[in-house]
Amino acid sequence: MFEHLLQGFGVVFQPLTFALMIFGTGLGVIIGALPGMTGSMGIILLLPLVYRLPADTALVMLAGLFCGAMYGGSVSAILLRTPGTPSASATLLDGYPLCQQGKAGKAIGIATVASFFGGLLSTACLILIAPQLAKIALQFQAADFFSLSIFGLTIMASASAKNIIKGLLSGWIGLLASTVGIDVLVGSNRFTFGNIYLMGGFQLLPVLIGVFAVAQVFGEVQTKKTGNTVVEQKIRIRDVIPSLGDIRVIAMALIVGSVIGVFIGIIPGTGGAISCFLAYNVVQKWSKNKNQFGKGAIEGIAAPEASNNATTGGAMIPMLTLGVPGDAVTAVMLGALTLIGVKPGPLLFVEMPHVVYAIFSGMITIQFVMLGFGFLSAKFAPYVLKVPYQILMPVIMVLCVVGSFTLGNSLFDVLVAVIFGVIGFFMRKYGYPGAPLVLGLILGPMAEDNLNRAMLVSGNNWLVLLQRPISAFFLILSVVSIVFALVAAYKINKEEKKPA
Amino acid sequence: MKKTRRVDFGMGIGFMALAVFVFMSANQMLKVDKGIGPGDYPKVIAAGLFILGAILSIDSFLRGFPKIEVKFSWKPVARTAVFIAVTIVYVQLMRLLGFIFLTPFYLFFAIYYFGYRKWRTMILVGILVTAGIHLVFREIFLVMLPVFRLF
Repeated sequence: MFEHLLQGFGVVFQPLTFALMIFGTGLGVIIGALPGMTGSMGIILLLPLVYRLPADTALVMLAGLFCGAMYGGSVSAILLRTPGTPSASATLLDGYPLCQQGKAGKAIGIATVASFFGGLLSTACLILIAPQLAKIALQFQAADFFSLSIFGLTIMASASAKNIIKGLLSGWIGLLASTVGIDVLVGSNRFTFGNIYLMGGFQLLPVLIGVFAVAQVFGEVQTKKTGNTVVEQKIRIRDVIPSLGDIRVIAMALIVGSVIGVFIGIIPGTGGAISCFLAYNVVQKWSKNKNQFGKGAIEGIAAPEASNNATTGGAMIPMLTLGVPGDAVTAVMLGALTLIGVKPGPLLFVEMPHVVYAIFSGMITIQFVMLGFGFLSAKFAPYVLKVPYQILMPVIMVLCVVGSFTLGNSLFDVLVAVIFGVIGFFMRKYGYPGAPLVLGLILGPMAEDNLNRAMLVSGNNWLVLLQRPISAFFLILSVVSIVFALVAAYKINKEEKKPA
Repeated sequence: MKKTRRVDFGMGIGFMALAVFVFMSANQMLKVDKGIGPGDYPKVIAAGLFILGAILSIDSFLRGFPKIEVKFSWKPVARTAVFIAVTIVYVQLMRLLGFIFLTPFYLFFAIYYFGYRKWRTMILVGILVTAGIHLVFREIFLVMLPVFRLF
């Protein structure tokens, strides 16, 4: 393993890869810091660049953006009292009060160190767990892969939507969209309506751009958002670096937050938004300074930040080993991987170990790069946060147009992006999450292909899906995830009906 | 939480109708003896879509429609619709007028539409962003963006 890791470092420290890793991490910090912009959108904006690069270089850059965006959300949570990403929601509880006390630098410093620690620990878990899980997954057969696709879809649908039915519907529409085009099994046309452009099916890139980026721009037209009002404070770099005393105070929060983050990250369909609050609550209960929580306790910043960054490595475990993403950002990353010809799953570890170990080595290096960006962000973030949205959104729209055009030098792809942008806009408006739709589009062909193979092998015996233990296990898990989500929704409804 | 039960009810019916259409279309596709044919998989999806659509409709119906749910206003919808329409026109016109000629005007309009009013910045952003994107995509990514071909 160490030999592979060293080879991975060899890739990471090649000038182009290293430069793009720094670029990806820096861009991630900026995108994460801007409220309303998410890591998913950052990855989408990089897609035209991604599929012109070698797979390992592209992946290291995307991993940098993922980690950078996860950290970046804390900067605006501290300076604006608005989390840049949902994962930083718990950081503002103590980050902003500390900022109001004139200690914005200290708050950003604690968030940076916690993110570094969480990211590093989760990378260690990724390196240790992923290859073992991939070995187990190599035993999977066609029926197991079909059930795994269904499990991936249901768990993401149940975790990413307030209403599980809407989450499932979103995933089902993605599956349906994946059937458009010439069928791969016998080569007949499906739902093309005589349009030659539809014969190749919906390409992933324009759909990703449409659902995540164009829909966001269309949504912002209604909000009339201007720039951000940043708390004016002179921050020096030396104020940002935490003292040894501070590190001692937050040590427990770092460990607890990171462990929670890794476990939550591994569960497909969850992510930083859940883990940050869980870590905050656990650390608050265990802390000697629980009365200080909500008033600027540094443990209250360290726990959620260590936790949300620890989900990055955790979320990559199911994505790399099973091809099932851990959260919305890894769902988009999964799409990016398929675009560049990398098929996540157990075979990735056998067929492309150099890519896997480049990601591992890259993730370690990224944490150090992020540490540097984190300390610098205290100085420069206030300027970035002042960029007017009225300029930013139109520029993003043009980048979306150009990005979708580059796929096949076709304006039809741009139209597909705009149409999916409109669909995504209405989905957001009425509470349908976008991630299951994209996942359905990615997993659809995999599910169909494996279902066909399972049927061929078993002589069209549908019970094979329940007779194979692994397949049955995933189907049971799918049902359990739906039942859990329904019970949770029932409880929430009951709470809402209670008179205040 | 926003209550959108009326819309949910309608959407549920819409999903059911879509499922019926998909199922009927898939039923006419080629059939195979072994494995699954091109129509079988869409039929399974259509069945799932129908059930989910029915659950959405029945659930929102049983909960009852509130007298006033999401306050509907045409103004923001029209605002977004105009922006979408202009974006589609921009994409269509790009075939004739090209990226570099058309994009500064689109950017200028979009920035204005988003509410920004510093004219000099708007013009500068329009020109510089277009030139920057054109340069990066043409020189680094070697992508030929649409060119002016009206004459």
